[in-house]
Amino acid sequence: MKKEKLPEKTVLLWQIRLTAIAVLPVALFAALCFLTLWMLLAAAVAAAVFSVLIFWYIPALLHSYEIFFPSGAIVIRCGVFLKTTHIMPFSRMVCADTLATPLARKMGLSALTLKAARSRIIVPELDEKYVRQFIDYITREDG
Amino acid sequence: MKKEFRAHPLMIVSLMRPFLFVLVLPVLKGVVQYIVSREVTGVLTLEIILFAAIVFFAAVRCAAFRLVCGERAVTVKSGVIFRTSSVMSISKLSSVQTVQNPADAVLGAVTYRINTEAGRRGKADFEFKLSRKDSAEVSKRLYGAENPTAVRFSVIKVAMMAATTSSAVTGMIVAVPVINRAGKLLGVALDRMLFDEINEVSGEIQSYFPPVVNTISLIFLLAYAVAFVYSFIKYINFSLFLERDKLEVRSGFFVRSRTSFKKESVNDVLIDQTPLMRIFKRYAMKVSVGGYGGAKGDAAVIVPSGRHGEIKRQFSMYFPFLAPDGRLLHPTRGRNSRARFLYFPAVYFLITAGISLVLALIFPDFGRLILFLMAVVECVVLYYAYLSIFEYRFGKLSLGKNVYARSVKIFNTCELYCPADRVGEIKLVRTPPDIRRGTCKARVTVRSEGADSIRVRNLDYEELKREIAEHYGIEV
Repeated sequence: MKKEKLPEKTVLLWQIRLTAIAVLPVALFAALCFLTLWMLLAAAVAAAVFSVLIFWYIPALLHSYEIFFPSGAIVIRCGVFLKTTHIMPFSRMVCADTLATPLARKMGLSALTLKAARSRIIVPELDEKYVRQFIDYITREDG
Repeated sequence: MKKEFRAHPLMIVSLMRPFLFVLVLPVLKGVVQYIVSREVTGVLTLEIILFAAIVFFAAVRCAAFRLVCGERAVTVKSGVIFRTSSVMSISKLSSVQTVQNPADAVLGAVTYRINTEAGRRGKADFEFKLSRKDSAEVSKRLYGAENPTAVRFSVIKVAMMAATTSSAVTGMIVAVPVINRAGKLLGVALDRMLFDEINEVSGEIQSYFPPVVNTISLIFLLAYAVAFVYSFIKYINFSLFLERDKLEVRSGFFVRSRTSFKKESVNDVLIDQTPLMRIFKRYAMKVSVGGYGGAKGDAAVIVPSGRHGEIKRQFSMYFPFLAPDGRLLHPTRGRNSRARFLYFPAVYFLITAGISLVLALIFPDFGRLILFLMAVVECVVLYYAYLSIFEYRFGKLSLGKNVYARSVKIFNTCELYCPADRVGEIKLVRTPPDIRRGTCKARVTVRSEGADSIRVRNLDYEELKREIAEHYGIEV
């Protein structure tokens, strides 16, 4: 059974996104250091936490994604501390949503959400071409 | 062949609505400015700029919307910055609903709702505006075009359903926000005025019970009347359009709604009888369709009111594939079994009488009020006893390719028909008396958002286990 992995571009995309988010609290704490020097410590802690997230946790989490297709189902394994396995039979799948932000579009990526009654699986950004193929495949499977 | 449909321009208004709160910000700015410097400038300019921005973004989003109908799948594309595209197989659609309010009717638009099982309860998966012509074409592409047979129901039947299914609680839920909003709009305490009026009228009614009883009764009666009118208007013009594989329900007076679904999408069929319907010996047939939205959950009324034989005939005509095929299991017969059904009503009856007696002794000044409340509660308990006897006499369960169950749900009696593959769970519960007598309670829960369930009491445990093993190959 062939396992699919997330593209390296996805890791880069999430690193950029998280960096953009991280800049705000770190800059805010640093700017408020005139109130008390403790703010500098807060800025340093926030920077350290975000660094761990950006350079270790996010790459580890996204690299842990394994997608494979046993007959008639999609199985997704992921997790760093908590290993999770999602299994969704195609027969139960109702709808597939794709979401592309401007940056993701520039990188040719698109996120995928698979919906079934009372459950959903969110797959981080995959190659847009692959997502289109996948949607074609599941609609053909159903037919 | 694929065909692309665009949104009707009226969708701009729907897209604007969630962002209109932004228009409050300039007003707040004006208030702060006034407090600080005793002058207000630039509020109107800011309002115009913000309003123009909201209209612009809504128009761009409306222009970006696309509905693509293919042979096997339907795709909904939306968004400008965050572009989403949802693909779903046509065979997986639960229902589509078109709603036309008076404004839509004037501008030739229709609110189109696509429902699937994966949606949130009480909310359509996709809701957009299409032109009337496009909406008809989309429905034709999704469900094909056939000549439907129209079944219309008389106003009396619709009124009967409205009267027997309305409740004072629904009336209050509908009326209270309307009264509050109308009061705020008119700048008068409408609720206070109404309450004073009710108080005055109830004060004039002479009865053994204290005036508060009259007031409460009058409030309940008024709320019931509101619920009746609301339900009647909602279901007026009710008609059913039958095709080979599809059903379409049309209803509404001011706001006209059409709901179409394939018969295969039906999770379960309920033949329901409320306490008032029981008096008139009438039943209603409802179907639970995955994803069918609306405030009342996912049950669509198919036959608003009819006698049992009539309803059964219509059931076998519309849903012949749901006919029960297994052996009927029912509670064991005999005095002991009947006594078990009446055990809880008897206990509740005695507890209520005891509590009322104690309260009357402690608070002798409230004697008449306590007597009234006790009478109401005892009536409910007696009705519960009556329903328990119904369960003893008519409760049954049949397992097989289709599941059939007849029992009681709160104050209603009901029959549930459902294909076995739509059953989410069959739960067997055994209390100590059940273990002693070799019986159990079986609860069948249907796999749907609304999760209809029905419980049949005091069935033979061994017999039920055998049935489950025989039909589903599961050894309990």
